[in-house]
Amino acid sequence: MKPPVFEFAAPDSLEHCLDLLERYGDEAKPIAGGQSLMPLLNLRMAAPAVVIDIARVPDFHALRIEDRTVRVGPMVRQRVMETNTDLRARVPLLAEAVGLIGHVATRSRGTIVGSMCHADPAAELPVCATLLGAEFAVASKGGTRTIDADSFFLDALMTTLEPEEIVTGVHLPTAMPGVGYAFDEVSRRRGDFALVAVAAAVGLSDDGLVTSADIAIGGASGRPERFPLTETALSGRRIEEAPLREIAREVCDRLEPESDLHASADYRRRISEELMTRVLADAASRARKDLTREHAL
Amino acid sequence: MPNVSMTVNGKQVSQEVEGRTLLSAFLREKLDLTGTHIGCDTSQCGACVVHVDGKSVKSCTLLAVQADGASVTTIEGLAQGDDLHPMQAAFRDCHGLQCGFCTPGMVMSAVDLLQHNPDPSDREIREWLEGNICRCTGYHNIVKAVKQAAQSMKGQQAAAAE
Repeated sequence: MKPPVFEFAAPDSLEHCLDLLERYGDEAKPIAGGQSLMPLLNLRMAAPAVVIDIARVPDFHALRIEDRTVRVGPMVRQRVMETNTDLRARVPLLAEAVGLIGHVATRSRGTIVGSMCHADPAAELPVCATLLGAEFAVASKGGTRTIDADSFFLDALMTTLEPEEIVTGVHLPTAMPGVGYAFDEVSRRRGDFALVAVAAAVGLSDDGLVTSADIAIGGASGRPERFPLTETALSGRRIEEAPLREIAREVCDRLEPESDLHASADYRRRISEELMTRVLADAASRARKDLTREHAL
Repeated sequence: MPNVSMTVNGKQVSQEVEGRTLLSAFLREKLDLTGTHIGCDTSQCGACVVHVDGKSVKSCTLLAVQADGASVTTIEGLAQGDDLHPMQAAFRDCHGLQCGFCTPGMVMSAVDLLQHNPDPSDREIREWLEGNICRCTGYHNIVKAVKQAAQSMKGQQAAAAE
């Protein structure tokens, strides 16, 4: 048998789930879709005393699409982000990124919140959460709190979630009119974790001048990093006249990626620069399409 | 030990298992359904793909207890008696396999593809099967087999509608 021995618990309510987390603390590991945890168990890189299956908590399957926020419960599968057209329109950044995660058969099981909580520094969804300023709703026996993405991701595979806490949902701000979003990455094979992944959001005025720009990068350090670019030479210019390459280079100079067996630090920095240049241009061109569509209505 | 009950290939099964039992191990070792193969145990190779409630999943990264109450279809559940499923028949006709190790997972993934997209292009087939690794065929004849199966299944549906 591949995984180490553990006790298995399948609570059917949030209350029961929190009781178990309080009792076992960091001896326990919640499992949602299991597409990060199960390989770690099979490789015996993780050995929790108790595995808590959260799939039997009915509320955890909830997906609420509201005007300004999408509320994603911890059991909402990644595949839903690919197949639900309303959801894709509300959070186009995640819709673009999700297809780059693993394979169809892993996305059928893997959850959006689970991937974020696993906090792999090269995973796609933490980068999206960081760019959008997602908020994590968290519960424990002691009460509830909200953690914004900037404070949530701490380091490689580490979040600020306490052992007795669980994420009950992630709140994603929906796409704003006049803002375009883009995501791109370089990986060794399709479906692999990215060497570097970059997400961008660019807002344009009615006459096509950049009014806001943000970028988030994964794979260049232990956690996704966000860089606000509104106060740079991008602002007030048409995107094709903006010095994208120079701005990307300035951001890259502040990165300190590590070398590992997949890629050198220098290579990671160079692809970061290239990816940033591309996603900024793509995001702006989508913002322009968005504006054209609005004017046509 | 927890008890799991599920429907496997249309039959109700119920057994006590250790919590750590993988669905792939449950199918192979407890139910003797050795058509589901185990390659990597880290959800990369796709040899263990089965359908759980109609969706293709990698059974090596799913605990048997997580599939409690589910309906599972394995490669053994596709043929009707001696009649191969059109996907199995197409893999045989097109020489879509050599050593056969990846074939059960490949066929289960491909059957799921046609449920979503009854007439996929070469590119769509290759993208859908990116989580199924074959080290023999170079994939060319696998793509051919999936296209042939799509055609023959459309034919069957048309015949059934008449």
